Amino acid sequence: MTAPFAQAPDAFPGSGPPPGIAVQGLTKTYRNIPAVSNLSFTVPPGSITGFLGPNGSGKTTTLRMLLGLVRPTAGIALIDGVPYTSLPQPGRVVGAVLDAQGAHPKHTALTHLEVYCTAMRVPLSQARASLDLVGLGSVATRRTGEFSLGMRQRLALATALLGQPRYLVLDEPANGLDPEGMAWLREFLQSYARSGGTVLVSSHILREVEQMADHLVIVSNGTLVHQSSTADLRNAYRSRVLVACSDPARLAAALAAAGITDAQIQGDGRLAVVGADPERIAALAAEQKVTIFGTHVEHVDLEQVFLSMTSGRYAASHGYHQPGPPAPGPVPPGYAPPVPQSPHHQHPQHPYPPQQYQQAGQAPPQYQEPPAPQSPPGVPAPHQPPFGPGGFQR
Amino acid sequence: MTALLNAEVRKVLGLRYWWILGIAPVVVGLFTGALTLPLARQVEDIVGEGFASTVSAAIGIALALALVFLFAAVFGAVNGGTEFQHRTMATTFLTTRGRDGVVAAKYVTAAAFGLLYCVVVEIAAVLTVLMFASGDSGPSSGSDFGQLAAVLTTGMLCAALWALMGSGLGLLTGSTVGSVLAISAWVPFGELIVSLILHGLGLGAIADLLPVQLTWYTIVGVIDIPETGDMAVRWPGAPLALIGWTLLVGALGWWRVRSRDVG
Repeated sequence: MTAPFAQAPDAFPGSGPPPGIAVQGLTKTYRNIPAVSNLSFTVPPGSITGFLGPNGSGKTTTLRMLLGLVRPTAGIALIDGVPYTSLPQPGRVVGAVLDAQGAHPKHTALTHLEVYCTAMRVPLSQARASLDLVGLGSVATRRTGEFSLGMRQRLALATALLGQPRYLVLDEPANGLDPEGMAWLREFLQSYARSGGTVLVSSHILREVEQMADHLVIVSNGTLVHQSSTADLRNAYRSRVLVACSDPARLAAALAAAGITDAQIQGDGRLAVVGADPERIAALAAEQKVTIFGTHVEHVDLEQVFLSMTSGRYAASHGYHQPGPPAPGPVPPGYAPPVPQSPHHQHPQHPYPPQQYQQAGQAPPQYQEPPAPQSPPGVPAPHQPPFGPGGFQR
Repeated sequence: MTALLNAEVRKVLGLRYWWILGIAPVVVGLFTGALTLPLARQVEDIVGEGFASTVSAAIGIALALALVFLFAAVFGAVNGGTEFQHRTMATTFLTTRGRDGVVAAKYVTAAAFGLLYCVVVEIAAVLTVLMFASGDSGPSSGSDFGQLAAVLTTGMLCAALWALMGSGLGLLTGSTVGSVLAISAWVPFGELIVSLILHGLGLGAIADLLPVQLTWYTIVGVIDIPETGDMAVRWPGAPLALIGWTLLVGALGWWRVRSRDVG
């Protein structure tokens, strides 16, 4: 595939590559209700940056401020060092997909694109090329009102690509796409970034962007809670091995001598080791005559880390309450009323513990650890388990 | 600016409402003369020769123009509000530098289509009246044709102004339906009701400055008839006041588009 943009980043006149996207102290308040508060982050040129946050966390407002559609209460957003509205030909610098509804339902797909080709002074042939690029070439003359949500998302992307921009800003582009469409979008964006383009893509689901994003910006309640490369986030929340052994302190010392310094004795007496696999630990334990009773590998689910970082805006009640007469006596929220059982009525033991729908960020008491001082409130420290369902998996 | 204008025209031509809205005034322009002429001929013997064609021409053109103004305003409102209704305004702003150019292009497009409606309807109305009045002595003098041309030209000015007012209202409200309903209520009877209320309150002078009233003062003002001396607002006050209304509504729409957050 050819480069999707007309001008490569290193083809800029002047010195050095373009500075990418920079958001500085962006704030938006709607009638005294803050939507975005003092948000600052950067999007390095040539990267795919995932802009993550739960629904209502201010992602769309931020992107609209970045693109000059919403006036910030304070702060500034810069693209190539200037506000979007000061770009001489914004459609040729930034392509944006903000809303799948951005086409008139009575226009055909081709007419829709030709309108914006004309506005951007782009050859009309680009309209057909963009439709072919996103896989809508066969429905070019169909009205956009007949399109499915996924097709409208593709059309919005085709519109964004008309000016062959260096930047793509996408607001939840996977909405409405089927798995095949999502895979195609991921591949397309990776190809775009490899060609030197810069992508800022928002989502409320980490898994959607985790595989393609080089950088992650995580917001919650309109504020920044995390910004790093995806690799750094993965390294910060690496898997750990819980070792039950005869002498945890001795094993920890042996591990430290071998360069594995991240080993902590847990409240239950097990040794939690980060940065070593069970085989290596077993070998070191054998050298030190430490008996290992069992090991348990815990893998970090980054989605759960993300949920832990962003939880708390809309706290749902626990569980699902069946309508009906109230159960006698106090019932803890989220639990069904106790069913009276006769002594002879024995359920078989479940092979797996029943799934508990637990508020993200809340830890079972046996795993409670003090938060690290450098982490934002509510965010688990690196190497700390993001407690909750799926936080660590066998 | 040329690119934006071309884009706006493409947007309009890619839809059907522009010619659908033009059908009603054209049909009225075609048939009003045909309907009024036989009626007027029945009293021609009493009033005098040439009366029928003059009256039918006046009524036919006046009715056709009234519909042109209404539908030009509706066109402007649809053209201005539809981008907000269908949430395409964000895409439009993202592909252009600044919002002023977009608003200017929308106003120019609205005025152009208002003019187009008027020209087509006037041609249809005049041709029909001439066709059905063939043989009558009617408006055959140079003075009559001069006055007819003045009426038609003034009608074109008013059509453009009404299209601009409709467009301004559409941009101001961001609602096609609301703007169209407001125009459809105001032009045929809304202003009349307000005018009656104002007269009842002793504020008749203000009623004379309402836009529909000013439009007819503007058109009648170019006709050389003795009654024009009694008009509350005469030339050039009437067209200037109408332009003032257009500037007011247009400026409000422009300001709203510049200042609003596009969600």
